[in-house]
Amino acid sequence: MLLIVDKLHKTYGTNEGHLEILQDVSFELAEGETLALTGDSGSGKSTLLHLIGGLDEITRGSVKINNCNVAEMNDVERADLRRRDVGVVFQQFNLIPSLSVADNIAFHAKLADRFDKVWIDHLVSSLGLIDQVAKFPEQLSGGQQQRVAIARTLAARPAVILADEPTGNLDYKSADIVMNLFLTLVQESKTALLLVTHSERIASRLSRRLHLSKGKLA
Amino acid sequence: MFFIGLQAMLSHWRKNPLQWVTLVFGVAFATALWTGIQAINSEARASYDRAEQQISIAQFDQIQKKDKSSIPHEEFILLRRAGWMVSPIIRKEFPDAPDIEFLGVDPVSYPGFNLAAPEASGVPLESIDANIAFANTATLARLKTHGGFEIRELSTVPDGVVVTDLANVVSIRTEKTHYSALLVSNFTPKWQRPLAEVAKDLILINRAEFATDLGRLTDSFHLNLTAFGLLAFAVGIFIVYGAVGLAFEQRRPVVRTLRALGYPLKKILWVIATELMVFAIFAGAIGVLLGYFLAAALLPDVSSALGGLYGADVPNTLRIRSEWWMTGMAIAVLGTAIAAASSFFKLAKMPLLSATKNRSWSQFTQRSGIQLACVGALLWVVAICLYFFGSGLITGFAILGGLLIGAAFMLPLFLLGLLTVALRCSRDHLVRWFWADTRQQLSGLSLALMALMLAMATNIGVSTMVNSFRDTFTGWLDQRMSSEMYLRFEDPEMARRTVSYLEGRVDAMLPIIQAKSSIRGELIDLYGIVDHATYRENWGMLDQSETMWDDIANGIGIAVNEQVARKADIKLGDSIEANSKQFTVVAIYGDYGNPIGQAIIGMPAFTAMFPNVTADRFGVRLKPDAIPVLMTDLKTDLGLTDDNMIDQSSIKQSSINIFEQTFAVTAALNVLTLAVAGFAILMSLLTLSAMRLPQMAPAWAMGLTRAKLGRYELLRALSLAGVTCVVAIPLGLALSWVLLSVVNVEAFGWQIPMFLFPATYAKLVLLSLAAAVIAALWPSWVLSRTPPERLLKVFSNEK
Amino acid sequence: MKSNITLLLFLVWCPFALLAQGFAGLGTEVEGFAVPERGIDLQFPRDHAAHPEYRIEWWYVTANAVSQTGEPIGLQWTLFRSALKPNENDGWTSPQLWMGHAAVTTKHDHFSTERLSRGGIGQAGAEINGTFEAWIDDWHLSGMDDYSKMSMRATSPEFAYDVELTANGPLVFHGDNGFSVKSSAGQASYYYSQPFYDLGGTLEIEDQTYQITGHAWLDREWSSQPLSETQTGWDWFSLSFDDGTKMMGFSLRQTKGENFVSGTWIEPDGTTTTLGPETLSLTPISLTSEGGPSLPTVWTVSVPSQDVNVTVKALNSNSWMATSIKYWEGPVVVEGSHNGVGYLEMTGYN
Repeated sequence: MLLIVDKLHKTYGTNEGHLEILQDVSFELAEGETLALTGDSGSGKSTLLHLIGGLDEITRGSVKINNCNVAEMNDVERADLRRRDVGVVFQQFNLIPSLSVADNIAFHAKLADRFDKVWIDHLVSSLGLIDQVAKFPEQLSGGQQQRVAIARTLAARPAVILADEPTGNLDYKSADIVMNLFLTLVQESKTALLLVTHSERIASRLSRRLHLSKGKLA
Repeated sequence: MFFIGLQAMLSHWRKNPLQWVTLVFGVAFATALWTGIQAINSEARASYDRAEQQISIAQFDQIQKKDKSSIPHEEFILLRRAGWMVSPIIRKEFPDAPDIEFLGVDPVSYPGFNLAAPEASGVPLESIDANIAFANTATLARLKTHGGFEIRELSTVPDGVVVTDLANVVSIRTEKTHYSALLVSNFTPKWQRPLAEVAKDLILINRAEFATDLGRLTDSFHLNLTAFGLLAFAVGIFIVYGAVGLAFEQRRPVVRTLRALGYPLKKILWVIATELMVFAIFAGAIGVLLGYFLAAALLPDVSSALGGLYGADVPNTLRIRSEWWMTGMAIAVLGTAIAAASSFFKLAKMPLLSATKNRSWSQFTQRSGIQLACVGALLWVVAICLYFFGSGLITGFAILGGLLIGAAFMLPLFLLGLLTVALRCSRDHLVRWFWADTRQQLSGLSLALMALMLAMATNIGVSTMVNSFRDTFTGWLDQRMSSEMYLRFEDPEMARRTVSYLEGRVDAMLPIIQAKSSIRGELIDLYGIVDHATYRENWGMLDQSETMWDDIANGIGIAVNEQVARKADIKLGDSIEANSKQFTVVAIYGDYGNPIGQAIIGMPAFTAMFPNVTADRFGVRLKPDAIPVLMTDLKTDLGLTDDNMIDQSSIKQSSINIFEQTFAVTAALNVLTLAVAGFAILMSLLTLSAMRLPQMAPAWAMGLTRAKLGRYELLRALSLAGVTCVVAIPLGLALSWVLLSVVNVEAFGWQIPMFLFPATYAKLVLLSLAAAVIAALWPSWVLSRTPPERLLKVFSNEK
Repeated sequence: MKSNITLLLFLVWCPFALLAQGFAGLGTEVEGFAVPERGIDLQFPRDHAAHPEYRIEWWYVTANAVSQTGEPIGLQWTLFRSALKPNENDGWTSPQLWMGHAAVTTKHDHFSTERLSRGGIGQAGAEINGTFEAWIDDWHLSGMDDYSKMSMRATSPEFAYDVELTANGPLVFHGDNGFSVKSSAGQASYYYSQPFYDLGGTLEIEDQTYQITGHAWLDREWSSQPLSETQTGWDWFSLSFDDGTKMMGFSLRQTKGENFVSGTWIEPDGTTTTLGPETLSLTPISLTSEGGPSLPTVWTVSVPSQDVNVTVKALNSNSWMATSIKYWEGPVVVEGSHNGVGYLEMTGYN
């Protein structure tokens, strides 16, 4: 099994006491499998994604990727994990503004030491970015920027992609286009996907779906 | 992986070249001013060291006759046998070269001579019992004949001197030998007999009082320069702090993205540290280069100022010395590290996931303002305590530092308070918006304003000091140089002939006669003066009794200069002994530019004490227009040369020229420090203008034109700089007061009365405002040309 | 003979051009200088004063004293004369150089100092003028022109002393009636001593003043011939035994062959017996390197003919002279068949 989430808990200390964000969340994800995670705002979707990606501290429980427990990793090991095995696509596009589109796309692949010119060229043309590669992120529209972010993640060929509302900042039409391209390419690259979305329509296109409500899996 | 990260980090500067320029030139300017001044200091120091290494009889205490006559051989032997480790010297003219001194020394008794390392004392031994003498290359070239000596080249011999063994300059008959002076070694055996017991008419002259102790005298000049250098460096670091802080702030999202993509934080920090050090080294190199040119440009003025004021011999040309370029590089790296430290540690502690709220890079809150002001107040308290309880030159400069930095720390809170009051008092909404917006900007500008105030206050302080010194000195020269012409003789016979020649041709001949003496253990030059209206009418005293001139003429009164009065704690009316005779102190007079004590008594009393001393200088009173004719007559009739006479106006002119050079250095540093402060303002405003769009956009949306916004921007810079300048004036005056009344007294032993120079201050204020306006011009122009869509974007981006 | 090496070094180290020339004839008789001859009777008081026609000369006093509290203290007072050319000239053109060394040694401290002067100018000298006076600066060794009563004074920044010396025995002549041979090649000097001084006076060390009493030994020696090239240094002893007998002995260390050993046995009445390699043995026992190069500060001295077999031990093993020329000179304690005190000088240890 590629990803095993087992009895995952996350609490935040606040001024009013402990805040339970996730309670006893367990699920599994196999290689090449796509899983939609739905739920209302504040249900803990993004937090779950952050915990799996090693971006936040796990309170209790375990997350195993390729049999390695994220909960037991230190900062450097978690950075290694993100660089090699996990790709994250955020709602904000998180591009490096001072690098060109081409450099942004190649960036993660180079970090992961999986730079593959043919694959990147394929991604660029599939995502319709051929005319944009020499530009800088601020010269692109929102939809184009998110396509660059997606290309960057896919280019690194991670074992699993964690996507947090990748089209949440886009208008309906561009969201549709970007999501179509994204899902097509995910299938093509045989990468497992954990996608947070509140769109039923999009969720239905994935092989499985889970619903999160007030920090618990329904 | 390191290079991929470095590439991502470096790409930031390509997109923000202005920030990079600010960073690099901030470091470069700071390094340049620091290095330039250090280069000047080290050049001067090296030349003082050279002077020390030379066979310089001035580096030892000396024993002389009170009447400055030569010392007979028996007294030299008596002193040795009394336990005084003295070494005789004879100074005479080199045969056929009257401008070259022939210095005879005894290498064996020379202070510091050691048989095991005979070269250590610097006095050559080969001339013992051989016709060998030594001179440096320049002196050798000037010698037409060698006077029967084999003269060898030796670089440690001072210019214009030929050194040889005493045996080569004395007559064979020991009992007839007389010495010019005896050098005293600092080796003092037990049971040494008191000097007065050996010979009553001998006096021990302390080296520091005898010769100009260059190190001590010039210390204050160099400390002034160093203070300028440190200040400029501080201003530069303020700039770098701003630039680095902003760059770090703007790159936070990139750092977050890098980490999300699996780039470890430690590696990111390494990348940033490497990047900053590379920049620091690059900027340091530019700075050192600029500093070199700065020093080379200033050095001729500095060296003539030092030469004129203190007689210090500093070359005009600059040598590249590792001591200043290496410290220059080091201070560039260190300065960058200091400026970047807080941003760097903030970044290191930044959590991976945090609300990406845009915190201001130098958020200035009322709380931090109060904290800073408290530190500033504490520094003032320390400075005040030091004034009352401390002493010494370093303390003087510590007071200066405390005063300046303390004031700088209090400035932001002061301005904040002022703006709050202005806001409260304004009714018009537009004016209120202006004040409120200015208050908000204060955070980003406070560093630059502190820098401006420091630069301004230093400039006012140093200008006041130098101007006060000049006014006092020239006024004093007018009193002292009250004769129209001065004559100087080496041959007493020539003096006698000239005096009788001039009898009836001039209004008066005033002899200037002088001997060494001591008052309350302080060595002094004792002068005898005739009773003449010239003195009564012209001389102003710091403190005097009603009957002073009569008392002096009657031989009961003595006037002492301020230096000896301070050192020996002498007050008006005190009874003091000079040369075994009691006098009443009837006056204390200012004596600027003189490092040692001085006293004046009536001529009859003087000749009674020193019957053998004759006047070798005279002041001549006559109508100024008669001077040229008289000079020509003296040359043709008596064979006097230009060396024998000088008219008063030439002396005054040469003194004033010396000050002009000091002013040239001060003026150059004034402009440079203000320019650096202006650069700080420019960079702060440019930075702010980019960040302030969210604040400007609503005002624009509510109907203020972009041009108007631009004009407000200019007005804001001007008003903040104006207030800062006004605050800087009293601070600068306080600074000059410390310089004149504390530092100067410590360094020289006299106090210079402080004068105010409003025209100079006005000029400096205008210069500062000009710097601020020039700095604000571009940012406000940029602002007035902001495309509307960028302003609009503010609204569309806001969520 | 004492201290020939010291003086030799003095000459070698002296960088005067003229001195270098003077060394051209090392080992043989030097041009123009007088040379000691066997069978010449020394004339007094004349020979107590300087002999500028000879190249080197010294007045050398060592004293074993005690403070009022019984603490042992050693004093040294030396005036060396060295001539660049024979004879005296007037004033600054004099070819004579003078060097004074003085030291004070206690169990724990050793202070030494040095003075230098040119001859001919009155700063230093040794003259008979009704009385005798040897001086350099404020130091002197002066008194009766037969050496029977002397006052001796030396000062430095750390110490100063002023003592009276009273002779209670005759002068003692070494070798052949004052002609003392220094090598198998025949180099020699004139050498006599006054080993019978009683001493009393004042000593100041740093802030402490001491009233001291004890015994002193004066050596007079002059020559023009340096040591032979194979002699590297030497060890010199002056010992005073409790029974009133005294002895002087020295060993010139050779690079090749046997050391050159010689000495004088002195009865309480001044009667002397010359000692040679067969009758005197000087054996180093243990080395110390305190304060400088390693050298022996414990010795065995035996004179079988006098039934003497004693251990000689330095009072303070760090008695190095911090003068231009470094050498070891300090008081010793004698134990064994005879008890007593004395002085030891060691030169040429580098």
